[in-house]
Amino acid sequence: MARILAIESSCDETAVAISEEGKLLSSIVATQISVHEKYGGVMPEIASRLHSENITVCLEQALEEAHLTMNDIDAIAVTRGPGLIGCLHVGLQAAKTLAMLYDLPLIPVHHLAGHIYANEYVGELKFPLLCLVVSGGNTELVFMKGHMDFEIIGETQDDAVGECFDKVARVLGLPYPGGLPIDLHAKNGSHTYDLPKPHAEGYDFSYSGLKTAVINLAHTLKMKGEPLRIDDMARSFEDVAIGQCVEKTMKAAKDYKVAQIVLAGGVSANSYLREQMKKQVEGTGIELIIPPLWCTTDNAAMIARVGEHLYKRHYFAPLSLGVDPSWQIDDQLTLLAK
Amino acid sequence: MIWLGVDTSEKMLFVCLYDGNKQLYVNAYEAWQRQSEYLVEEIAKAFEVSGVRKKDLQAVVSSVGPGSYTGVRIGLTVAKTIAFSKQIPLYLVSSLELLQRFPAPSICVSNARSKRSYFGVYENGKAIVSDCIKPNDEVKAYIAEHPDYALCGDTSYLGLEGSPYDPADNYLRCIDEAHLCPNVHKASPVYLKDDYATSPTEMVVRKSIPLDIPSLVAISNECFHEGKYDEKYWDYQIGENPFAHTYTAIMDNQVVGFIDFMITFSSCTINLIAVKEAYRKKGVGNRLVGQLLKDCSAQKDDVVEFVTLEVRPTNTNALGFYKKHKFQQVTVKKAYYDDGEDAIYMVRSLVNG
Repeated sequence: MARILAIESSCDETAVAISEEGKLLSSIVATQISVHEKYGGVMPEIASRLHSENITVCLEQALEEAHLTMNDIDAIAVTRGPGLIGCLHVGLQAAKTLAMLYDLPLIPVHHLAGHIYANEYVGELKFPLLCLVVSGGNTELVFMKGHMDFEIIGETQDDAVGECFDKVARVLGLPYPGGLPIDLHAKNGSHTYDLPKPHAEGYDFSYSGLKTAVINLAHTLKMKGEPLRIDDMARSFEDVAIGQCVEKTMKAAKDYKVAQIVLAGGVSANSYLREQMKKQVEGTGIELIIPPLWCTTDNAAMIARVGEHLYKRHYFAPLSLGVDPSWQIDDQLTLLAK
Repeated sequence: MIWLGVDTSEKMLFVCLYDGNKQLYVNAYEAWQRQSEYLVEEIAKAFEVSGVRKKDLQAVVSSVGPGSYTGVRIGLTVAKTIAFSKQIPLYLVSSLELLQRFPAPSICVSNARSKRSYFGVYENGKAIVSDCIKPNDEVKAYIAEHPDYALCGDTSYLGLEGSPYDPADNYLRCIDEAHLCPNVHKASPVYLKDDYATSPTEMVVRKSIPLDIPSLVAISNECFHEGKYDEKYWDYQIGENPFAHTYTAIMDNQVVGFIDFMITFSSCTINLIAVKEAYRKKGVGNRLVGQLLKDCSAQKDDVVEFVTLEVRPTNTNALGFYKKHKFQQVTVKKAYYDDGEDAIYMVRSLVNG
């Protein structure tokens, strides 16, 4: 029986969780959203500062909620990338310090592997599997033949889809993060604005053209003195942005003959994406897992989940472990072999 | 008492382990940008080499800045995590104080980049000048005025010889009530250089008022060296000129810049735009130009079609700024300025994008 303490600090949430054989004993998330809201995006230096201010409070609360002390912990799992470098440093230092002080194994976890494995909190993963990873920093299609075996078969050539939502929200005067406000406005709108369908080869994605198109259109309307109908723009944008995700995922799922599709990352909270994916898998025989809403934002429970798999494999890093802001998910298992 | 000292606030990585005032282990080496990888391993080594058991650790002493943001955070995060998990006291010490040559009066500096230094003066373990951030030329002047003071820290960036880095004894002196951190959770780095306190949300641009005039004159003199933008000029622009629009930018409770332009029918002319040197590259100029564009588009009777300005060809900063704001060079006005220098005449069109 192993108890894993996991730390996540790759972007704007400081999080600590403790799990034991798949059971979550505690999960603490200190979010910074209210701070970054006024900038309309995450400010890396501010985020790093807040992580260093929040980290020990989160550790204390996670231990308290689980009714444990550090002496009851068997391993430390930590996000070593990808993410904002200054932010990753804070979580990694705390993790390494605890591993050193209590002579515990240190498990390096890929942030997106965490998002994918968050789905284990609602169902069993079945292989071959295709995962659509959509967040503020990522838009990827990951193919998995088995546990911890990740292959990126498609990715964005420019902006991430979540980033695109945030920028468009800003243009429409909606709050940060932009995903939820756009989703809500889209529910009342109709697809009346003509936005270009992104062109990207194969399973790749592209979002910068779409973002620019919305900005230009908003600008033109303003110059002409015509009102911008926010609901309709949100609907038009969401159709195209989410449409691209759904279309590419379904094509890859059929080509790779997968048993299961899972969604992961912040944008997987989008109600239109969830609805469309459910509709599309109907009658295909492909199973769909949609993560619980609490797992679509960053948290450490998902890092603990991956930590458990890696603990069983004795995948332990030395104390000289460094962060890697652009760590590729297909290197999750090869890191220590190098 | 077994205590651990760490410092990663600059390019050095420092770890020491003491039993009271008896040194058990000390290691210092240059580890610029690799501290994240090495620090914890080095602490593990300190325990291993000294034979001290980790559970016998009784206190942690850490530098708290100022210094490299990331560097300070790495050392402090490790120290906080140790103090929190072991429930032992955490002592925080200024990274400048750590450099002093006790008990001599010591000028302690480190490179804050952008031609500035982190600067503090210590004597007998007490600060006689509190840690602050100073332009390098002021620091050099202070050093020149105090030849009998010890110069401490890596001063090679000032072109001066400093003292070798050896903070161990200073750590020992800092284990006292004055340095004790009352709440480990709240321990956070001292940054001094706080670019975020002056974030765009905290900058105010408003119509200039007569009270601003002394500041406007001072900034005009600092930026234009022409002497003709005196009180009378500003009095007229703010109080009488019906075509003039003047705006003042305020940060840190002081006037830091202004824009002065005129809108006459379909055209707008920038007379003056200036930002205090210390407040440049913080978006003040952008906000001021933004205000101009707002005023232009708010004209009810006429559509303002273009914005014009004259700029000295030698003023490369301004030229770059205007190009960024879509101004294009149209012609050169010969001997435009009083001193005979030519002016580049630039125009930005407001119609058709």
